Amino acid sequence: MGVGMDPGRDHEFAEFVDGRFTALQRFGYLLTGEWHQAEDLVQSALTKVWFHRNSLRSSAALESYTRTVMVNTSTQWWRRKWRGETPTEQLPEHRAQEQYGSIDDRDLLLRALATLPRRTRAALVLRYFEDLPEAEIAQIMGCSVGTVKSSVSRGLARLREHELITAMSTPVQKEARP
Amino acid sequence: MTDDLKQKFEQLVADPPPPSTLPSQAVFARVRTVRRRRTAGAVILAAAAVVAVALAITNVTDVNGRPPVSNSPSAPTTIVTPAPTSAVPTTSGTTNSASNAIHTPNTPPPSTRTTGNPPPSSTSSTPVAPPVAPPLGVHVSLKSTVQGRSVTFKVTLSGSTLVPTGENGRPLSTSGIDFVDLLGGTQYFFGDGQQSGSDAGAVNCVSGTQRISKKQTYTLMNDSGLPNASGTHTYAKAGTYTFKYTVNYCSASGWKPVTKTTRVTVR
Repeated sequence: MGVGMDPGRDHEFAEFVDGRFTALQRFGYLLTGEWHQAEDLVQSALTKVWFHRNSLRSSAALESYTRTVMVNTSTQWWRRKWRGETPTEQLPEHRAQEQYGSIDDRDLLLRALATLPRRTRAALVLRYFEDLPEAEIAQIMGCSVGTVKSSVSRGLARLREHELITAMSTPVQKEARP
Repeated sequence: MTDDLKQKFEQLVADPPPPSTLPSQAVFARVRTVRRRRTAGAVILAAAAVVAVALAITNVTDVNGRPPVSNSPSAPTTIVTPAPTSAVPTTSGTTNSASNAIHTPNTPPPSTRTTGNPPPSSTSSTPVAPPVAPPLGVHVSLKSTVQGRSVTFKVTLSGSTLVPTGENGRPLSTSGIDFVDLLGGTQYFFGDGQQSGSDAGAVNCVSGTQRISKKQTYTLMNDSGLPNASGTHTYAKAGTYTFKYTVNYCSASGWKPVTKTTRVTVR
């Protein structure tokens, strides 16, 4: 069910949203560190993209532009600093576990990522999770390739000096999932 | 390290929760909400324009149907008579036209009337100086609230800045945007070795863009981005610390920092 004047374009957009939502949500999670915020971020970004969908002819352009909007929106949210409330379905119970040193890898990495500036974090995620070339990252982030290189380099250096990452880099035996 | 990082990223997002609704439906619902808001905004704007025009029209004529300001020689002159100062019976506080007010026996002597009358220029239009744009600059005021070793910092920003341009080279939208989001990022040092701040994002300061004046008060967040981010900063040891706050605003010659410091004592 579309909302625009062109049902064909709306149908294409809906297909793109339903098909790529999970991938975008994963990207959003690495930007925000929280699944519900990630879903909110993706929906906000796609809403903004919908108003510009006619100028984006290909699906690749649509996705690239969506990632651009996600990076900018996430930075904007961070600058506004209104994350006083974190939406969650269940009360977190991992705090008590942390006191006894039982911290799982995911939490460690999330905490390390959270110490990075937003755009540095975005550059790292685009480079090492999305496997995008630096030129494309530069296009998405609206900056030069040199800026991307320095951001990624600074981000990696920050992660390396982070004690949590030092702990994470030791091999951990994961239990096989049933 | 990088291979390890990619692997960890993959593990981190391995099991995303299912979306609460069909994604496309949720997005279209948001689009409809945004469109409704935009329509409502346009209607309010149009209504405000109609009210402004109506006010302007009603201001053209006074209750007697005359223009309140007139420079035409043939137009009647308004003379306001003051309260009577002599025993002559008069009608005080009346407003008359020049054609009959001066020669009416009930009016005070001319000298008395003259001193009470406003100068002629007050009833004629005076040249209005064009509004002077406020100078560019941001004033910062800090207020700290200490509770034990935890301190809450409130920042009030006021002043004028040029509107920065976004990635597309156009000035950022200023409607509904906080003042701090139109500035070039902040940096603050708590005085105990810890610091935080906010990134300006991909914005540029270009001379010649429109200027905007705003005021905003907000509470600083420490540990930004961490899950336990809060509005207070807790010092590990008692003592007196110097808190330093810097914000950049867009001036005609580029980004300019404004720094403010305050001392806090925790016990």
